[in-house]
Amino acid sequence: MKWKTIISIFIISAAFTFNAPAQKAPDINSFRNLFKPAPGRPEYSLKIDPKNEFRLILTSGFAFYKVFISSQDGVRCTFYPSCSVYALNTIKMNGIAGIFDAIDRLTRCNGISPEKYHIHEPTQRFYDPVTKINR
Amino acid sequence: MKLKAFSLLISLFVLSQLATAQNVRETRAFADSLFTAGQTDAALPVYERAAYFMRPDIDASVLERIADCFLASDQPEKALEYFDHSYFVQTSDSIKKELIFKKAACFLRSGNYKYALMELYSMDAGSSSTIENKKNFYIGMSWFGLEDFPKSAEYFVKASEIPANKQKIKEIFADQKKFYRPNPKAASWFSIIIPGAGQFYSGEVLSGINSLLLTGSFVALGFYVISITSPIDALFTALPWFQRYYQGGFQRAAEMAKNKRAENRNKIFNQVIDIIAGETN
Repeated sequence: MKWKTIISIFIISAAFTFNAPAQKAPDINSFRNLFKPAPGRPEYSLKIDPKNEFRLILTSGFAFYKVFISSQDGVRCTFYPSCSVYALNTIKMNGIAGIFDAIDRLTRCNGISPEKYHIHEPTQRFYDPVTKINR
Repeated sequence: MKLKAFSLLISLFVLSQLATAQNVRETRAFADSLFTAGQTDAALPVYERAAYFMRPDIDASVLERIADCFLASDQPEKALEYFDHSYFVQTSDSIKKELIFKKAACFLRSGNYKYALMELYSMDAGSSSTIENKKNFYIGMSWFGLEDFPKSAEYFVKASEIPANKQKIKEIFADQKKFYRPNPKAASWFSIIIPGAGQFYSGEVLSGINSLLLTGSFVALGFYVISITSPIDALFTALPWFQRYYQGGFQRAAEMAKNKRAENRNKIFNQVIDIIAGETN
């Protein structure tokens, strides 16, 4: 009886050992696209906003600049978000005052006052987000 | 009035005695139910709560589940901390081996391929062919990440059990040149010689045309300024713009080639995944 048990256990375990698959398919498939380059996180939308003429000109001009001009440029802006994105967002948020805010941002885009900004870790640029202007 | 206040007080006292807080076991059970339902984001704070009240003897399986939740929410570095903690608390050898794989997976997902190799090479697979194959597969991925493709192929072949599949993997890795195409340096040089050529070489035709037109228009502007005024004027008006987009063009060409090459490598890696995952069906 004892030998029978031992032999049965041996046969069953051997069957499992030799036919054991390398791993489970879901485990292997979880590594699919492991080496896919990370998509750049878009910090802006290229959607054209036809709500009114001002927004139409602003958003289409921004989209044209981003697609045809900025895409051919290296990393130039010292800030995150970049000046063009900042300008678009501040004008959307603050209206006319945003135009002056955008001009102010352009005058500051020179990197000569690093002590005034935190570093945005992922991009290693100065962090200067758009804020609501109190009037 | 006094009687009312007294009865209210009594009722509150009775209720407070009946009401009990959720204990650790119930918290754990609730977290498990969320985890099983795939709600890892919701399960995480509940597991953390359970772990907090278990201190200092935190159950290894709770730590592992916390790590699994972090891994599911694409935070491999955070998951690694908990897998590591769980590894040292765990007493079962077989579960410890599984935890080593999970730690290696965290390193792989965070791009720390050398650390993954350290974990895997230090692991004793024992006599189990299942664990040995899994180990080889993980080592293969680590070498792939480190761009040592011959070594990666060697381990992927070892991870496969079917001779025909081993041959397929060897064939995939036979042409080593395809792992290095397109070459970012070559793309950069192409764009230095002819703006946009590097982008064409990387397969980004529209971007190539855009670069060619943009830099071409600044060259045209330069000549126009020379013709109407002087070369000095052109030097100060058109040249800075030309330099900016010419330089940006060849930098972008290298970047695009690098991305394209990574995509190609990923496609090759997915072919290996298809072969090895196919063996388990």
